[in-house]
Amino acid sequence: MNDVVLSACDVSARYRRREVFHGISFELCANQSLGVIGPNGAGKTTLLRVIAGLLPASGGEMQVRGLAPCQAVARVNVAYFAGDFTLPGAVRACDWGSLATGDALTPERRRIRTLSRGTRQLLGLRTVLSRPHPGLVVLDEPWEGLDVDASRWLSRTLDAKRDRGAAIVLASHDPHDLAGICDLYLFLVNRCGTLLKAHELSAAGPVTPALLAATLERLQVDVTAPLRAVS
Amino acid sequence: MTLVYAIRYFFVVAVVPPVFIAGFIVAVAAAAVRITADPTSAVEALTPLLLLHLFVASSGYQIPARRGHFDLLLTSSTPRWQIGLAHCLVSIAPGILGWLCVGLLELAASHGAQAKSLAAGTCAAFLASSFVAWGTAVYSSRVACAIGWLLVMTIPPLARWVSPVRLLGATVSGPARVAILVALGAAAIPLAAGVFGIVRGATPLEVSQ
Repeated sequence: MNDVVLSACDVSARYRRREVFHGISFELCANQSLGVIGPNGAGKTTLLRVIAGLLPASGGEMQVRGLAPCQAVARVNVAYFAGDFTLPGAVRACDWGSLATGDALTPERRRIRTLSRGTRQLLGLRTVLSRPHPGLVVLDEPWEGLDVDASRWLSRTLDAKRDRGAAIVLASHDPHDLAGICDLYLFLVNRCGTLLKAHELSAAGPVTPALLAATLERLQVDVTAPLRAVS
Repeated sequence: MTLVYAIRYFFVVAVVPPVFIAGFIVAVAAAAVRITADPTSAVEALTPLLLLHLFVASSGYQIPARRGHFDLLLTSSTPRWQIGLAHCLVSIAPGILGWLCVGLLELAASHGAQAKSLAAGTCAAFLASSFVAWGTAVYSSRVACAIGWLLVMTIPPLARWVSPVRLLGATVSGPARVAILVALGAAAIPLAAGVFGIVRGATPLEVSQ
C-alpha cells in the first residue's frame, strides 16, 4: 500500500514577479527518496523551502501527510537543513548541537564561524538528523564540504532513516551526489520540473552520475524534446 | 516543542547580543548610583535605560530568518505564534528586567516613600516602547529601526508627540492619563502585526532569491 508522505500537484513558486518554477508534480511515499537535481539558480533551494513550509507555493498544492507544509511541521517530524551558511556564526557549536534534542552532540565550545566549512556542515546535519523519528528529511546540498568519513556517515544515516519509514528529499547540482541513492529524480531545468523514476532512467542497473549528467544536459538543451532512453 | 523551547532557542542564537546586555548592566549601575545619591531623580535615571531598551527591543526578525538562522525552530513542532511570542519576550526581557531593578532600587533608596519608576506612566512607557520597537523591527532590521528611533527622539515636534520618555514618572490621575491609555492601546497594534508577520510571513533564503 502506498503511504504518501509528500505530494506536489502543479506547484509553482515566484519571488514577486520572477517565476522560479512551475508545474512541479510528484508523490513521495514513506521509505522513498527523491533527488532534486538542476543547475545553479534552478530553484532547488526554493522548492525545498516550499516543502519544509518556510515558503508558500504561489500556485498548485504541496501537501505533507495531507496537510499544508506549514501546518504539517507541527505533526510530522521534519528534519530540514539548507547548508552551513544558515548556521548563526556567533553561537557556540555545543549550544547549537543541543538545540534539537537537548542532549549535547559535540563538546566543541568554539563559535560556529571559527569552524571549518565541513565541520559546520556536519554540525548542522547532525543537529537536524538527531531529531527522533523524522517522517520527512529535507536536505539541500548535504554533501557540500564533507570529507569521506562524514559523507559515509551521512549516507548510512539517510539509509537508516529511510528504512525506518522516513521520506527523504535531497537536492544537489552535482550528479555524483545523487547517483544510485534515489528512487525518484526531479530535474529542475528552465523553470520546469521533469520527474523520472530510477528504473526509467536505467532499466539495467543503478543510476550512474554519467547518466544523470547526460539527462540533465539533454533537458537543458531542449526541454520540449521527448525524453529518449539513455543508453 | 513548546514556548520554553522557542525561548531557549532565541537565547542560544543571541537575539540580544552580549554587548547589549553589558550596556544594560552599565545603564542600571549608573541609574543605581544616581538614585542612591538622589532618590527623587528616578525619571532622569531611567531615561538612558529607556532609550537603550528601544534600540535593543528592535531586535529584527526577518533578516536572521532569511539567513536561515531560525530554520531549525521554524521546522520544529513549535506553533508559529509561540515563536513570535518567544522572540518578543527574549527581545524585551533585558530592558524590562533593568527597569524593574531600577524600580526596586528606587523603593529601597527612598524607603518606600517614592516609586516613580513603577508609576503608571513609566509602566506604559516601557511596555509601549517594548511592543512598538519589537513589532516594527519584525519587518526591518535593527539598524533601520535605530535610525528611525534616533529621528523620532531628535526631531522636536515628533519627539513631543511620540517619544515615550515624556511618559516617565507620569501618574494615571494626572493630565497624562490619555497619553498613557493611547500609548498602551497603540502598542497592541505593532505587537499583533509582528506576531502576525511571523505566523503568516514567508521565509525565503536571501541567497536563493
